[in-house]
Amino acid sequence: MAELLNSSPMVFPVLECIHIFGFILLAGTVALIDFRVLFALLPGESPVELAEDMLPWNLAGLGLALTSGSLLFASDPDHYYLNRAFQIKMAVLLIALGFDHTIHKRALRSGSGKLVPCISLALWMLVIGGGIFIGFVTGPE
Amino acid sequence: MNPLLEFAQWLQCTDIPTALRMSTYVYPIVLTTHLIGIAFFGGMIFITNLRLLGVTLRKLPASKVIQSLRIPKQIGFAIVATCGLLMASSKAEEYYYNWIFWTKMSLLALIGIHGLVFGRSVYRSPGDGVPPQAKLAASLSLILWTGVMIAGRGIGYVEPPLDKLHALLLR
Repeated sequence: MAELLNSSPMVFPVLECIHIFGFILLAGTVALIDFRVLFALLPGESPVELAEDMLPWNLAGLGLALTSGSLLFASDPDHYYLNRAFQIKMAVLLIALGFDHTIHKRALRSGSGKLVPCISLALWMLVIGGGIFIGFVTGPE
Repeated sequence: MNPLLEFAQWLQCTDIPTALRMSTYVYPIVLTTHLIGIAFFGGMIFITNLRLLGVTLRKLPASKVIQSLRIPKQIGFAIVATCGLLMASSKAEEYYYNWIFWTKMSLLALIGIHGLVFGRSVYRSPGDGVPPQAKLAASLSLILWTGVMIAGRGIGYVEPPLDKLHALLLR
């Protein structure tokens, strides 16, 4: 697998672009819902309706980001799984996804407060930060 | 000498770009902020265009979606552009020679022109209906912004011409 992924110097940057496009959809749709709750954007739709409308785009983004991300990982697994930023990113990603589909979803229905959208935004910011820092921390070579 | 190159060399050696270049963790924090802004506010550009294409948020009038997201998108653009300018200025001389950086700037200029062309007819149209040029405007916007995104990632793949970099001595 790694051999195939490293067969052309174009494979990695193309996967990176798909990854960026995917997480714009993934985190962008979550952020839009959170901003809806925090700042009353798009007042014509309730947060629940907005979340329903955004779900297909959110899942499409998740699919693109996970697929491209897995392939980026597979191009050099040793490099990634020893990388501290990568480990933190994966942990926070699992928390963010779990949060998104449980507490976040329920909070939208009950219309409770601003804490949940703030936590949601913070989690996705950490996921993105973790992804960036993968390239800036030095692992145990 | 080329005044633009001279400007790039001067800019790179001013205090803030120098500090950013010398830092270990400030640069990735600025880059992270750039990308968070892209995800949170670029997502709004995407959704606005999808609404103009009529594929999402159909219960809301397109004009309401545009109007409601205008200010957040402007704030987002200011954040993303500030981070981008900081990063570009910290490597200004190198970027002067980077053809993908100039491609990205040209695409951003085209987006500015796109705004001038379609601003009044599509994005600030008074009615609730979707104007006839809206789909063209939305498609072009999606293509241009996707191009900016790809070029943004591509900048880092252009090898700096080490033999030409003068300000390198001042690192």
